[in-house]
Amino acid sequence: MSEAAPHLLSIREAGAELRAGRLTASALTEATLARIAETEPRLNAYITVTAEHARAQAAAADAELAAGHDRGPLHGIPVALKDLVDTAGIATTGGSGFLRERVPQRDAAVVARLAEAGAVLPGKLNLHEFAFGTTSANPHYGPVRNPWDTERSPGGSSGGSAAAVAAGSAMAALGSDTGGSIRIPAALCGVVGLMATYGRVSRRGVLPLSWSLDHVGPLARSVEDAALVLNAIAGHDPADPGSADEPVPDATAELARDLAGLVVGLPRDPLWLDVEEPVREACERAVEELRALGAEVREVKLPLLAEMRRMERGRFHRAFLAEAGAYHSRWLREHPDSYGEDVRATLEVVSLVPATTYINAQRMRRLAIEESRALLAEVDVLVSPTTEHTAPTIAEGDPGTRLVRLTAPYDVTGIPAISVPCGFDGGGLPIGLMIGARHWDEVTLCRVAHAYEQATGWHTRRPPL
Amino acid sequence: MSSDRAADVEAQAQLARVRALAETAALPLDEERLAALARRLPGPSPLDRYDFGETEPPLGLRLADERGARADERGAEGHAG
Repeated sequence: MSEAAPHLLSIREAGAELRAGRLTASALTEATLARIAETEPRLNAYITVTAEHARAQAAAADAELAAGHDRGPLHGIPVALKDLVDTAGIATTGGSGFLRERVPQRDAAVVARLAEAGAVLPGKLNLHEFAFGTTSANPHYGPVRNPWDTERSPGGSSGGSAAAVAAGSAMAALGSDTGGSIRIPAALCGVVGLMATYGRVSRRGVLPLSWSLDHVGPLARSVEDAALVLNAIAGHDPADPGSADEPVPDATAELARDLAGLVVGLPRDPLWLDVEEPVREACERAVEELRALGAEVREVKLPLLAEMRRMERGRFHRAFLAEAGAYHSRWLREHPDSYGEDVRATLEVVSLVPATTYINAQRMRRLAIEESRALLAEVDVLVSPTTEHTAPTIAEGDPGTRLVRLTAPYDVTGIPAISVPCGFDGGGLPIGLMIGARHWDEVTLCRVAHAYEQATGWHTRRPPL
Repeated sequence: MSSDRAADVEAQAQLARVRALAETAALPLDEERLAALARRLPGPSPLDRYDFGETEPPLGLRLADERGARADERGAEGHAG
């Protein structure tokens, strides 16, 4: 039997223990709930802990396994949800004060898929209000704290998801990503964050921020764990207009394959610009590791994305966020004082984006997609830092657009991207490496990220909580 | 006109522009918030001055061109010759 505490096992390891009869889903759930109780006073990662719901799900999972009904890799595994994912009968607040009592009648599509896969829900995770920001300093539920240094932000907007996974108070979690909100907190908390191709995962029943940019995806402690969760939630959903009717491959299919012959592109401009030195050094070492693993590394260019960065001063996706202004327009008129000041101020700005600017941004997006698609015909993956810097202090407040400058281009182009741990700065704060692949090629994305992860072992470090 | 005077005229023009936009969007802003928004709101986007040339229609809410391209490929195969 593995000697690790049950809640710190990988999903694959926990599954092996469950199927060998050395562990039960109920015991795994109790270990997770105990870890939540232990860490929450310091992290504030959860808005709602669904202990009784989780116990009932775990008991059912145990009964099914005993009866020979195995739902697959997530059977009996605790997977928590960012609190903008609808759960029938369980409050879903979006991190908002005025939605505090909102109880959906229906599960989001991803929740139904997780339930079908046998996952257990330990609770709903704190986030930046309405996912509209990168600090997760929520004015209504309190700030989420980074497990590596509780005076620091975990990033956001899926800050609770990343903090809980890093601390072991969830084995995996779902987040959402509109400008980087899965990958940024994953990088700042030292875990894996996977944003699949736009349209791969249904958003039905997930509170939107910006419909044409929103993605739902997993955060986990390893690439394999993230890939297993993606496998469970991916697939076409006619109820989501952005969902794509594309074949869904097994994201773990090539985890064992080496990197010989793989071509890595380094888009220095714009995805390595303004990166602070400790982050740059760690990511340069990661590139050398990929080379040592057999990959060919090339410098590549993305001139249009570079021009977009210069034109919009790094705010690649601001014009698209007019969609958030449209979604919030009624609430902003009826409950303006119910928003936190930062979210209200940003909503006011994006509410005034002219229609012509929004449409021109969509025209630019098409060109950017064509440019990145052409580049990814020549190289297999793109590699860069996930963020320009490590976790800021909570007291520093909102660092503005800096945290999204490297991640947002992937939301705009719909390209799948993953952040994996690649080292620490001098203060012991995690650093993330971002990898992007062709549309719909999460198999190669996970293959490269897994090969790097297994060669370096950064993902095995745990915060001192 | 002094530079201070020019800046003041420009600020008043920005405030008037933002007031008109906010009224159109029905944003509930008092004078203090309106002034703060006028200071924060960026000027015209460079996107609106970009020369797109003869481009295809912009994307909608999905990667429609990806699927369109695949359909075209299938169609081309189906109607070869």
